[in-house]
Amino acid sequence: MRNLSDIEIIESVKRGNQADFSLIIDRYKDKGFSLLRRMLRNDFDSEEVLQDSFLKAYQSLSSFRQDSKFSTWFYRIVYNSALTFLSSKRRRNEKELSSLEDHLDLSDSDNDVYAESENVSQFVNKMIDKLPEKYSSIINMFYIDDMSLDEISKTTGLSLVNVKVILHRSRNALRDLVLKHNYYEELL
Amino acid sequence: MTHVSDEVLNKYIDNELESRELSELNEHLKFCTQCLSRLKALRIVDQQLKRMDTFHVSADFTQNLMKRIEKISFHYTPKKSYFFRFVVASFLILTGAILIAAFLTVKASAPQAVSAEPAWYKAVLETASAKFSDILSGYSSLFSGRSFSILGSGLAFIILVSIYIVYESFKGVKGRIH
Repeated sequence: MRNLSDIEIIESVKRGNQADFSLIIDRYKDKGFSLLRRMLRNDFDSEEVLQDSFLKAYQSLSSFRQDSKFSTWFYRIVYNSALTFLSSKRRRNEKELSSLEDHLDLSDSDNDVYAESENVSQFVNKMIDKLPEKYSSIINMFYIDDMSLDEISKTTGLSLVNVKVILHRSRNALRDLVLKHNYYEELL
Repeated sequence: MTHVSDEVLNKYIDNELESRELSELNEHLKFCTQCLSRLKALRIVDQQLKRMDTFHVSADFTQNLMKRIEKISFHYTPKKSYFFRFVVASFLILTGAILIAAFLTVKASAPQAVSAEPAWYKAVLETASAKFSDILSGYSSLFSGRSFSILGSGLAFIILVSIYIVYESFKGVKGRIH
């Protein structure tokens, strides 16, 4: 059976084939979960927010006008749901979520992460979770979801220049840590 | 020595450098080990990010979510485009009126041959013809001389504006037709 496009599946759901929505869920659940996991840093919350995002998408299918890709439209729902969740959590516990701010400083945690990591791959993966949510979400969209900078800009509502700046800053910060902990020499 | 900026190194990683910038960078890297180290470290980060972990939802995620979705009744009601309907209806009415007028004119100017048409048909035709002539006679001054030019220009302007509006709203209408 040929792979149905997102639009074909959505048209089928709109015609009343509700069960076809499971194809969309299967297609985007892990990517959406990875994005949420990097923003919320918690499996339980990420799965809850992902369920809500799929429900919102399902209930708003009639407003999806097909002038953008379904993936971009869906990621926008996921991203905004995550921001809403973080804001409400922040209100509940002001201290817990100082990282919502855009301040990029990895110097507090890199030594601990270095001590726990066996190689550069583990180190980089763990350090991504130490980036501010906005940074780690953009890294995730760019590298895991293969989204273009323009698509990321549309999803996050940030300007194209800001998206590029955040991507470069994240990479530069990680690069400085790779140099600091001599991973560079190990790989030579 | 001036070192290569972070922006240039990131552009290199993303294949965004132009050939001139690329050759300048290559030239610089031949002599600057510090920039070469920065570039290699950045490349390591880029490669690691490409292999970054993907997280997976629990095995019964889709099943549980579909149970919740099944409880929601989904009704897709496309938005009605009254403007589009108005344009189509106006066009049909105008076309119908022109066709009736043309038919009556041709019928009136045709030679009155002996026909097998029934008397009631002739009576209806004559009554319609008379009524239509009465309606048109009130506006006959509009179709002569200067008034005709003004009316024609006005109509042409309205038609052009309508075509433009229909064209602009075409994308939206196309979506709603589905």
